[in-house]
Amino acid sequence: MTELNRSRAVASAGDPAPAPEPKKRSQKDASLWMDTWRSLRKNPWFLISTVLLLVMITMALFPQLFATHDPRECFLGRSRQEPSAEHWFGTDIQGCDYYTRVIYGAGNSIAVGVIVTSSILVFGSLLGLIAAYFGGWVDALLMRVTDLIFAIPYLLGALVFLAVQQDRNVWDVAFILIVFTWPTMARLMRGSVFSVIHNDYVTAARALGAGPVTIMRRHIVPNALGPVVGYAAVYTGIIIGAEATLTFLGVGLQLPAISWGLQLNDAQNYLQQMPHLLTFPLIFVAITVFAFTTMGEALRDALDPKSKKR
Amino acid sequence: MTGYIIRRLLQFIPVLLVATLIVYAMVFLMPGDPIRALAGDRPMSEQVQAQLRDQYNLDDPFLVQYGKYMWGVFTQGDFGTTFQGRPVLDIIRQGLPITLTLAAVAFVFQAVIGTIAGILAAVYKDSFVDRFVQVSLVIVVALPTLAIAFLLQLTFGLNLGWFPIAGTREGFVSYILPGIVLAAVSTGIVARMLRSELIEALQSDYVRTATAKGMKRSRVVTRHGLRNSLIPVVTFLGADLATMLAGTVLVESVFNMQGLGGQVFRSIQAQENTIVVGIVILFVLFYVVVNLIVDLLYAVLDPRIRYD
Amino acid sequence: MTSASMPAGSLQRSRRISTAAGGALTVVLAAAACGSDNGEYEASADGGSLSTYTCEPQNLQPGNNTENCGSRVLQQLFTGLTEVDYETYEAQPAMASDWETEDQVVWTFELSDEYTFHNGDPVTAQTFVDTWNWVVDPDNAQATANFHDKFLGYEDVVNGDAEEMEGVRAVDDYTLEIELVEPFGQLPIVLTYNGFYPMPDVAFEDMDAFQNSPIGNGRYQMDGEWVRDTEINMNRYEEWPGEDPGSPERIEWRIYSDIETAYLDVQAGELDILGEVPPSRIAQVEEDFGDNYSQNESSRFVYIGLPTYQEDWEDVDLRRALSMAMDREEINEQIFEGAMTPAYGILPPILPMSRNDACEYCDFDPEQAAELYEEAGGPSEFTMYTDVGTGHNEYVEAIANQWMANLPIDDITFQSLEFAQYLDLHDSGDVTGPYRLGWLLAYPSAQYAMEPLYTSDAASNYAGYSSEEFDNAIREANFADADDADELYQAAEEQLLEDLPVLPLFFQDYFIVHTDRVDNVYSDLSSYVRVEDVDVLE
Repeated sequence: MTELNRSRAVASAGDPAPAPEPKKRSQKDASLWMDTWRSLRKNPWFLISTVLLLVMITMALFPQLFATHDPRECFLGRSRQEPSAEHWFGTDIQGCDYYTRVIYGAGNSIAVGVIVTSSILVFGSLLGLIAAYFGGWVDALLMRVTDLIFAIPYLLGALVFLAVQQDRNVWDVAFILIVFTWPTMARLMRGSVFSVIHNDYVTAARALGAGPVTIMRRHIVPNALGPVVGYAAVYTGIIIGAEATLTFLGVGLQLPAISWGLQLNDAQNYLQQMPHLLTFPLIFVAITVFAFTTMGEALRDALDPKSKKR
Repeated sequence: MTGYIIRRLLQFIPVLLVATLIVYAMVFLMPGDPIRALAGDRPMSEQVQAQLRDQYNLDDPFLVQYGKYMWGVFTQGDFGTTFQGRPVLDIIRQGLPITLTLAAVAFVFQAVIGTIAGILAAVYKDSFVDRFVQVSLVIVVALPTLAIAFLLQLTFGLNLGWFPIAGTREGFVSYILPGIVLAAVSTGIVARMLRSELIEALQSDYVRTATAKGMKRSRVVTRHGLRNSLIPVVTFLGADLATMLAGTVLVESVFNMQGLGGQVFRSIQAQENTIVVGIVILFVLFYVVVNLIVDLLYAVLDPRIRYD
Repeated sequence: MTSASMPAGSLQRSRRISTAAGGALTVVLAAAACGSDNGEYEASADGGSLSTYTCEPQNLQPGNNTENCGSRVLQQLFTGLTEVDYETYEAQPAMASDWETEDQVVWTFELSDEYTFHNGDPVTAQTFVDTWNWVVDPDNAQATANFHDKFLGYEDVVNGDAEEMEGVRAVDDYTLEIELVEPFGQLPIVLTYNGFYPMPDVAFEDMDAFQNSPIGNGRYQMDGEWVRDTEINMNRYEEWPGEDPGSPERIEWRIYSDIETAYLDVQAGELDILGEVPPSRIAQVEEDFGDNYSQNESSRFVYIGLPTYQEDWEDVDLRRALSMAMDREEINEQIFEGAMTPAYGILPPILPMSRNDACEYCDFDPEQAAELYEEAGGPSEFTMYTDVGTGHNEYVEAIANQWMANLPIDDITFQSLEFAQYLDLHDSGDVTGPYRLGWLLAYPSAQYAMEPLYTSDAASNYAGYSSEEFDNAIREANFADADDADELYQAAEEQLLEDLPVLPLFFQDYFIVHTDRVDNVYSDLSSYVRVEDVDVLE
C-alpha cells in the first residue's frame, strides 16, 4: 500500500496550471491537498470504497478476528456441504469450513495484488515517462525492451525462475508477475505523456528554463497519470486471478497455501454441482476490485482541476 | 516519416536476436530432461535416449545448439522438427491462421463494444449504463477465464445451440465464443478507460467552446471529445494485442482450437526448443509491427506528435 | 461397486429412455425395428459411422508409441500375432493361428496366410523379423525397443555389435521362431502390445511420412491423413480375415485438448463417445446422460510411493503405519464420489488372479497406525510430492489431512512439479517424502504390474526398492508356464504387500458417456473404448 500512496501523493503534489514560482510550492501543495480532501469527503463513493478496503485489509492482516474455525481443521467426512448455520459458506472438498478459508485467503491474494500492482505502477510509469520525455534512442531502447518482454512467454520465465526457487512465497510469485507485466504499464504511461507533452504549459515551463525533473513532476505526471491509475485499479483484480493460473501451471503458491485464486481455480470444475464454492470467493474478489476501481476514480475526480470547477 | 518507419523496422533485428537467444537459453536452463519426459513414466532404453539426444543436438554446448538452429533458420528457412519428426513450419502453417483469426475477433470485439460502452457510460455518466459497465467489468475480472468459457459454452453452445461448443469445423462462427472470452476483461477496461478520458475531455475548454457555439452534442463527442481521448485506449489495445497471445493458451485449449498459443505452451512443457523459438520469432515480428502502428496512430490522433 | 469391465457386464445398456433429442428418431425407427435387442433401435445394417474421443497422439508409429492417445488408434489399424481376449484377459490367436513351446525359451508361432496390409502386401514371418529388427535398431530411436529385451540377440543389436536379433527367425513364410534369453511364460500376452505390430516395407523408407497415414493390417484402414490436433478417420478394411471384424463401418477419432469440452460435445450430440469422463463430472453423469453411461474398471493403479532409499523411510513399520492411517474408502466416497476401486493389493482386480484384499496393512486402523508410527520414530514434518495440472492435488491433500489427523505429524508441506522435473527429481534420488504416481498396464499380465516397478534397479522403480525374495519370486513366476504362473505372481505380490515400498491407493474406474446413436460401449483394462465392438443404431 505504501508505494501506491506515494505515487498518488506525487500526483497530488503537481500543479497542472502554468508554472507558478517554485518557492510558493509548499503552500500551494497544502491547499491542493485540502481541496482534494474536501472534494473526496463529499464523494459518497470514496467513503464506501474506503470502508470496503479497510475491511478487506483488516481481514488480510488479522483473519482470526473474522474466522469461525481453524482453516486447517479439515475432515473429509463433512466434505462439500451446502451453506448452513454451522458453516456459513458450506465446506469445501477437503471438508474445511469454507467461510474461514475464504477469510484466510484474503491475505495472500491482496498481498500479491497490491505488491504487483504498486510495483509496476511505479516502475512501469517511470520507464514510460522517461521514454516519452527524452524520446530518440532512449525511447527506442526502452520500447524494444518491452517488445522483448512481450515476446518471451511468461510461463517459460516462471518455470525457469520458480524451478530454481524451491520454496515459493508471495514475494517470489509477485516478482515473476512484475517482471512480465510492467511493459503494458510503461506503454500506457508513454502514450499518455505523449498527449500531454505538447501542451502549452509544458512548452512555457521549458521556455522559463525549468529542468526536466521539475517539468515532469509538476506538469506532466499529474496530467498523464489518469489512465495509468485507472488501469492499475482494475489490474489488482486481474493479478489476484493470475496468481491462481500460475499455481495451476505448477509455478504459483504451493499447497497448503490459501488464496482466493486457488479457491476460484479449484471451484471452476464444480460449477454445476457446487456453485457455492465459486460464488463466495468470487464475491470477495469482486468487492475488492470494485473498491479499488471506485477509489481510483474518486481520486482522479478529486485531483482533476477541471472537474473541480463544476 | 518513411525514414522513421525504416529505422523502426530495422530495430526488429536486434530485438529478434536477443529474444531468441534469451528464449533458447531459458528452455535450455529448464530443469528436467526433455527426452526423459517424452517417454513418460515408461522409460526408453538408454541407447534410444542417446540416439535422440544426438539427433536433436541436445548434447552440444548451449551456444553451438543455438548457432546451429539459427543458422538453419536464416540460411535455409529451416525451423527444424519436433522430437516426433514433424516440421515446425508445418505446425506454424496450421496454427497461425487460427490464432490470428481468434485474436482478430477478440480485438474487434473489445475495440468496438468497448468503445461504444465507454462513450455511452461517459455521456450518460452515473446512469444505469454507466453502472452496468462498471459492475460487469468487476465481475468479469473476478471470474476465472475457464468459468467464463464454461458458462458461455453451456448457455450459447449446449442449451441455446447458437454457436458450436468447440472446434473450428464450422468456420467463422466457431471463433465468436472464444473471441468473446478472450476479449471479456479487456473490453471492460477499454470501456472504463475511455469513459474516464472522455468525461475529462468533455469538460475541457475547447469542447465547452464548441458546445457554446451551438455544435450538436453527438458531433462534439465524436469530433472533439473522442479524438483526444483515444490515445490511452489505442495504447492499451496495442499492448493488449501483445498479451493476448498469452491469453490464447487457455482459450484455445478449452475451445479445442489448434492455434499457436496452446502449441507454445505444450512445447515449453516438453522443452522443445525448436518450436518455442520458431514461434517466438513470429511473435517478435508481430509486436514490432503492432507497436509501430500504434505509434503512427498517435500522430494521426494528435497532430502535434511528429516523428522525424 | 458394480464392475463393468466385460462386454456382458457393461452397465445400463438394456433399457433406454428416449431423451428429447432422441424422441423423434425413436418414433420413426420403432416401426422399422424388429428383433433388435432393445426393441427401439435397429443396428445399422452396414455398421454405421461413429465418432469417438482421443487426445493428440505423440506419433502413429507402432514401434514408437507408448501413450494412450495413439495406442488406441493403432490398435484398430494393426493386428499383432496375438490379441487380448477381453473376457479372460488371456492371449488369443490373431495373426498367429497357433503357437507352442517346450521350455518357455524357444517359441514357434504358426501364422495365418490370409492377412494383407491395407496396400495389398502380404504379411509373412519375415515381415515380423524385419519390423522387430528395425524397431530395436538404436539408430531408429523407437520408444518400445526395450519391450523386446527378452529376445536373444537384443543386447547385441542395441550395442551395435549385430544388425539383427539372433533369436527372431523366419523358418518359412508362415512360421516364426522366437528364442528368448531365459524362460518367459508370458510371451504370448506380451506380443499383444503395439510395439510388436508388423509394419510394411514402405514404413521403413520414411517413417515420418508413413505415420501421416499408417498402412497396417488391422480391422480398419486410414481414410485420408491424420489431421494434426483435429481428427483421424478410418474405414473398415473389408479384406480383414479375422473372426470378429469391426462392427461400425467407419470410426472418426476426434482429437480434443480438453476433456471437459468433449463432455459437452457428447451432451450436444456432436461426439458419440467419450471414454474418460473428467472426475469433476462423475457426480452428474446420470443426470446428464440417463442410461447412456457406464462405469468400467481399468488396470490403472494409483499409489503413494515412498523413497525407501532415504533413511527416514527405511523402516517398514513406518510405511505400514502410513498405510493404515489412510482411509481409502472415505477418500473414494468424498473425493471421487465412489467412482474408484480402493486398492487393497497391487494386482489390478481386472486381472483374474487378483485378490483385492491381499494387503494386511491397508485396512484403516488409526490407533494401531499411531502406535506403530510413534514406536518407529516417524518424522513429525515432511514433504509430499505430486506432478501438476491433472487433478492429483485433491486426493494427495486429503491423504495429508488424514495423516495429520491420525498420526503424530505436525506439518506436511507439498511440492508439485512439472512432470519432466518430477521425473528428474526421482532419477536423481532427491525425493525426500511420499510421492504420487500411477501405472497402467500395456498388456494384461501380472508380470507387467510388478516387474518394471519393483525389481532391483528396474527402470521405473522410483521407490528404490530392492528385495532378493521379491526378485526371485518374479523370476520364478516368469519362468513358469502361463497356466501355472498365477499363484507364483500372487506370492510375489504378497512380498510387496509385506514390505510396502508403495502404498496402494486405488484402481481407477473410467466412466464412458455416449449418445443415443450407439450401444454396447465398454472399455478395456487400458481404459480404451473397444470401438470395434460398438453397435451404431440408425
